[in-house]
Amino acid sequence: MSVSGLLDKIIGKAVDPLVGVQGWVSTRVQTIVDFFTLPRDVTTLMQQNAALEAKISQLQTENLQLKQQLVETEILYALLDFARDNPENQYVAASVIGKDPSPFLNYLIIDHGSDNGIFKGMPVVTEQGLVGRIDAVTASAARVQLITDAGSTVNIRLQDSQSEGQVSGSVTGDLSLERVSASVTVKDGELVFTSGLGGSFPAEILVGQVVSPEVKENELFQTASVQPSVDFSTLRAVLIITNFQAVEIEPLVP
Amino acid sequence: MSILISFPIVILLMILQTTFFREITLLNGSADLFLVTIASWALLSKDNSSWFWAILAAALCGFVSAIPWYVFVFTFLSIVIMARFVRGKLWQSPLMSVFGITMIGSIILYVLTFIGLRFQGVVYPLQSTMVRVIIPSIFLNLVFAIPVYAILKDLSVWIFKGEVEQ
Repeated sequence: MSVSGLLDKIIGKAVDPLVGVQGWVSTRVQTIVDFFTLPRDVTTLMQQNAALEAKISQLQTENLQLKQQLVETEILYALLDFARDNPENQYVAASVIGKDPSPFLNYLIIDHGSDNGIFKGMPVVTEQGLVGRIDAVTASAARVQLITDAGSTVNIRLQDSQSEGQVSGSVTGDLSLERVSASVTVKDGELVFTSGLGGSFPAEILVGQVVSPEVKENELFQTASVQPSVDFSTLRAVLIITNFQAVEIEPLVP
Repeated sequence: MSILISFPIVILLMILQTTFFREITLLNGSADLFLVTIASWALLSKDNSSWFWAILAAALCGFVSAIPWYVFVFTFLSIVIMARFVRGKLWQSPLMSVFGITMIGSIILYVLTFIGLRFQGVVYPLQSTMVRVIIPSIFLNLVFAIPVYAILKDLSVWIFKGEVEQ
């Protein structure tokens, strides 16, 4: 019978009702068990859920903090690389903690001051290039005048033509190239560096790139826009060159 | 009480102004939280504390900003004078008062800033300054005048109710 498969059929027919009964009983028993245990489980689940939600919230906060630290570390590494590449200067790193309250001015507030060896006139840079100079100092903070401020003028030298001129800021935060002789050929995209003339900034710091130079007829000087090398909108940390003594040029009094 | 509370509020305003509100820009303009606060408080306060608020705010702004200090002193005191003059006359339309004072105060502030910086040797082109900075800033000041007035109204109710109960 077993060989012919008849036995399996008989057993199957006998067991099928039992499986049905088993299933029916099991469902009812599970229902009864749930009835007695469900309230406790809901409470436990609610507690677990609350604990997990708190844990998720904590992990999300940690995640954000770590991302923040990662960004800061990347910035600091970039600044450190810049400082290593330019060992002739001494630097103090500072974080940007605010901007001047007035929309007329392009100034930053940093979290280092005279207690950290920072004084008025010191140049401020990042690994991307020139940022500005220290305008005012307290013991623990300082105000930085950006090169994009309308009151800022930087003496520059163009990389290819080696001619000198000035880069001035404006109320809109745009930089413009001035005092470059009309006879000089200025190329679009030419790099602009500080010249060191006037004693306000050290020489050879990148300021930006020339954009759309324009020579007007019968003008002594040509004009152009300058795209700053530093992205001022995302500036988070800066380096202050502490071993540079800015020269305060006063008008000559007879 | 209203004088005591001015210290933390003015410091908080400075932190918010130099961080958050300078990031909210329209073209190159940004709101002046101090101006809006002084205008609202001068309309709402039932004592003479708005003079103190104005002087404290002007002192802090003059210290932090590169704008000449006298610009803030003159502007904020002018706002208090205007608000106290208007308060007795337009008391039934407080929002109109705060809008009017904010607008006139903003014009005074930006014109004085323009002149003050010119005295310092910084020359701004009038047209682009007007279009890119002054008009957008005035607009933002008016936008922020409503929530600032609402918050300070609650604060004034809390402060002056406490003083009445004492």
